[in-house]
Amino acid sequence: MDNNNLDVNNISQFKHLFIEEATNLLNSMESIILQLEENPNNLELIQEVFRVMHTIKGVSGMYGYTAMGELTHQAENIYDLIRSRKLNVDKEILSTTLIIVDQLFALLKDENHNCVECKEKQEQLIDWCKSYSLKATNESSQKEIHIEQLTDKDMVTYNIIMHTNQSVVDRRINIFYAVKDLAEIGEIRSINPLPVDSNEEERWSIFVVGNFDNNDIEEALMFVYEFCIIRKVADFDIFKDGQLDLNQKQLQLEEEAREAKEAPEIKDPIAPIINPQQTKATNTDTMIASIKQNMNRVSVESEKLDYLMYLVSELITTSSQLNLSSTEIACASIRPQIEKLDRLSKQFRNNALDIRLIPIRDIVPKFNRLVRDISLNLEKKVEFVTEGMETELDKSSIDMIAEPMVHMLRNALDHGIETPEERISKGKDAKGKITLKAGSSGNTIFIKISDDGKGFDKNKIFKHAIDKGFIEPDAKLTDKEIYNLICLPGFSTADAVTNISGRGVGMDVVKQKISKMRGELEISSTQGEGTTFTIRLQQSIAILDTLLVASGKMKFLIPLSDVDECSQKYYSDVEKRIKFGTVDYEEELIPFISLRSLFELNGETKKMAKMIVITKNKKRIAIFADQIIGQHQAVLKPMGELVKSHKEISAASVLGNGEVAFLLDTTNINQEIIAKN
Amino acid sequence: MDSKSSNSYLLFRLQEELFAVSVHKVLEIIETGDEHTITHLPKAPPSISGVVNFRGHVIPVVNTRLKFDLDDYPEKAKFVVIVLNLILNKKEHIIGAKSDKVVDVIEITESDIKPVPEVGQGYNSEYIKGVVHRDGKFIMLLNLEAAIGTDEIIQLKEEAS
Repeated sequence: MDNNNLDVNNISQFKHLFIEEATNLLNSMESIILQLEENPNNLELIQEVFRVMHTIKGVSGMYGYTAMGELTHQAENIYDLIRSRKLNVDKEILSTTLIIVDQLFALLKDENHNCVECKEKQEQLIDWCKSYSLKATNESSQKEIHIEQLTDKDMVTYNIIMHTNQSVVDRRINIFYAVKDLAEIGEIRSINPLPVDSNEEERWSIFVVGNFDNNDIEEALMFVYEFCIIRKVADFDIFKDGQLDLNQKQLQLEEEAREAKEAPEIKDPIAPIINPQQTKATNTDTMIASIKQNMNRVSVESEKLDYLMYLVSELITTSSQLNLSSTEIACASIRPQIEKLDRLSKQFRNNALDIRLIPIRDIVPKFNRLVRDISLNLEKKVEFVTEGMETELDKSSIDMIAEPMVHMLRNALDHGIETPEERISKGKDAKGKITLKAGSSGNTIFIKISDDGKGFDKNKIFKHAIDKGFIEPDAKLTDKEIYNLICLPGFSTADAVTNISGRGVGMDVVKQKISKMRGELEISSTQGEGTTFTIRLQQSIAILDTLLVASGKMKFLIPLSDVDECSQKYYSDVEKRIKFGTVDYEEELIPFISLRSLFELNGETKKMAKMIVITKNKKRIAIFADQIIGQHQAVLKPMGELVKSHKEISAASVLGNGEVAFLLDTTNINQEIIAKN
Repeated sequence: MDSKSSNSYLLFRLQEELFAVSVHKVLEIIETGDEHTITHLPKAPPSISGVVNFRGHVIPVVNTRLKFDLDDYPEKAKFVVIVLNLILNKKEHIIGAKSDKVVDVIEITESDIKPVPEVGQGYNSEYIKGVVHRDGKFIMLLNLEAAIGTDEIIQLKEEAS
């Protein structure tokens, strides 16, 4: 319950930031490459790839990710050739770049180089890069010499000693950005750690070579300027032609740096510090732009958000307790303040919930990649279209929904979309289409995944279900019920619906995951035209609008979005119907449960029972309770092991007076009683 | 452990018996122990009284009296809930334990702890680590992990499957 996750001794904070940042960069790479596939001549995109590789190369060395450094170095070379038009973007390059990105991900995880597979792949990739760039350089070798001679004249070499300590972390400064900015003005030739006195600090010696001046360096380092000692080493590239014994030079510089550390106010004896006023004046615009770029999105560890949510929910509970007790004691003089506190804490809660929302867009690049890879693999042509990706979902929902979505996309590609030949013979466009569409209405979010493939063969599914013993041969099922059969555990779609080899990913798992989030899955399909899977979810699974009801001494919550109507009946009538399991409602018999009998509750019986009619998965059922208390915005609490033992209860919420109310798992209750009937 | 080193223990009462738990395992004592704060959980094992809100977590409350084969609390009896943090199977579990009354916090030296007498127990003796004699009274040192933890967790898991 402690939120103390700043453990400096365990893992370096900076390294942690590096991993986070590198992951972000690599994620962005995937979408850039896919865009580049569409527009191979877009120089901006090529530059971007180059920059990303360059940055990762620069910083990976800092934390001992040498393999990453090697690989990005090679990749950077290729993109350097491309941006100087000595190489053209082709399919092979792009595909290999994606493999490189995968490898970089793998290396990021496999810090200790234990993975043999990784090593082999690494060698292959480096060989490929080398041979590819060699081919290109041979073709244009003359030109290159010319360029080098020209640029070498204006080269300068700078050494930067960056001394970071805990205050950098405390202030949420990411030194990664500084190195990234440095990499933009020149080439980082080496980054080496220097000895430090404690675990909480780090010192780095960075050599940058390029055509730039003091201003550029300062601009690049503006966020960490106070932690840096900047010195110009030479008016040429010292790393060229082995002009210097590097190690010796390095040592010498370190020595000087140590002296400088003793007297930090004298930052640079060679190039005096630029007057801060002047820097401000000249660079205001770039500075503002840079600040905006870096600061308008904050990345926060999700644990911190969880802790915030916990605090908020406690505040809400306390505030409503206060609200409740203050009416009883009739302390009128502080009522206005209590009401204001109540309002503010509700706003605070909404705001905290809002912070946790993430657009679906953030996970789309992964899906792009998935569709591309699988379709290539299956030799199918697929266009992947997305719509409404700005729709926002709670962070935990995004995490949970990603997996079922991957399953469904896989299924659509594998079993839905036909091969180009098949499609042409059916008179369809050779290129299939998969659409991912998201949107919201009120608090409900829907996500639709549709394909224009072959659709489900109802008869085949029906027959398969009979063979497997899931249904009786004379069962009468609606289309929807037939499609839902594929969500039964052990119903392998791979055998039944298509004959394509490969694993039919279990739809039962998909359905299970969605139900766990209190969501719904709907399947619709037209044979020959395609299939659509629709997922409906609540925007936030931590908070829910509910109807609070009581039976006996217990209180229960029913998701308000499920409730159709409330009315009442005599308990004596209800009891008579128990053996049938159904009651009449609007001239129709619908299945019901009575909370009293379901949970074996005692206490004095009431004459009238309240009937709450709910719809779940398009099926109506009735729930009988003693009393309807009213609406309750429930902050749902995890109950861990306790809740797992209950089919009927999925979570708990603390009421204003400290009492605990249980949330009825309407999806499960619905399924159970419909199965019984 | 050094036989002379002493540790702090929370002393609580169940009927006429005194029990002690290490204070390191105690997170909080919920004082307002009338039946209102504990919510009955339907279909739970009898030794679980229900659940209670503890700092934003809904935690199970163990009926310690039933656990130690003592008579159950009469209706509307007063009690407190001792919130404990137990490590079971390397996982942290926060569990509440009903108690009639918290008596004191005392220092107990390792060498004071005597083995459990084998006869004449009115409770499950496998839950007792040792006995301390003090001021003419016997204090039972609880083996909490055995007494409260495993049993309930296993029961709950079994019901889940």
